[in-house]
Amino acid sequence: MSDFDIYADILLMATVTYLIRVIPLLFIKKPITNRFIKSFLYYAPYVTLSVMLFPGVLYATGNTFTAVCGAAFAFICSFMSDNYALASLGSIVAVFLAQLISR
Amino acid sequence: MRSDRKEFLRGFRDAFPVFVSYFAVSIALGITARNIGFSPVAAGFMSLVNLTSAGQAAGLRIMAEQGTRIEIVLSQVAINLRYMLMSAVLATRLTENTGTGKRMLMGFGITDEIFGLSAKNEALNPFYTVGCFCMATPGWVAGTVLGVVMGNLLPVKIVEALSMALYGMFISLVFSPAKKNYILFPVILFTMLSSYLLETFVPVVSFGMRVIFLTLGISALAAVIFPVKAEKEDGEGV
Repeated sequence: MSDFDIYADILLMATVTYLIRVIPLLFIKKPITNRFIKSFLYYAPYVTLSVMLFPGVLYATGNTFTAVCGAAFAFICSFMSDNYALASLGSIVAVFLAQLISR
Repeated sequence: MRSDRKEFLRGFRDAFPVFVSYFAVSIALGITARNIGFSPVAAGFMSLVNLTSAGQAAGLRIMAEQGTRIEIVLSQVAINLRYMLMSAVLATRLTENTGTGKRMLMGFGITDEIFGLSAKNEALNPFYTVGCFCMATPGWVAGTVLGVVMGNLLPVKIVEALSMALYGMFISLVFSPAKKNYILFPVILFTMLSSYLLETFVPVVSFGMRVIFLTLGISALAAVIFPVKAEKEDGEGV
């Protein structure tokens, strides 16, 4: 591929993705009062995050055992604290430790 | 609402785990880009202006197979349409008089993770989101460039462990609020089960489409079965 083609493709992708992101922000301006829509929007982030989470988390580290150890740490952590940085960084450490005993 | 500057800094700090996980995840993307002949600059530029993991991976794959520009556009729409849903959620958290310029700036960085952080704010200042992606984007670009430069020389175990960062954050973002609002448990667990079944038995449905179908379907179902109380819904977004 020529440099021109590579950069043209990159900018094309970026334009499409940006439009997808910005259109709702530009056109939804009124506060929503409908109870169904409010409820829908309340649940939507949890559903979206749950889909991203599972089953993807099982393959995150290339080894189900170490991934489950990392996930278990974050899960327990989220019941003791709302600090997601702690859950996130702690789950990395949990995976490291699990790697030591599994291979 | 706090000042723009304070909100920017708060977002910047909050997104540190995203920086770490983006750095780790994008190394793999950089390795892919290297394999189809991208220079570190081109790959870094791609990550800077796109900021979308699955979208970039699909774009690279199409380029590697000499696909058409139409395929590139369609792949981005299919994979990234979920961002439209996320932006719609965030749009309702902005005050009505938020200016067009701020909306356009904020739109640049709506990703799964930045959406997750932004949606924690019942009233969202666009500069919070801007702060988030100003922290996260350098991680994404640096990891990509490192992937191109270092190729396969990085210790696999380290990359693998770092890849957990994203999921650790998702788990906390989902379950921390659920312990205060138990209705979320059946919603979360049903979603995970559905996602698993869909991926296992209907693999033709891409990741992006799975996110869209399940978000629309299950959120609507939950809204009918467990409508939120009039004052309650604003206080406890993800």
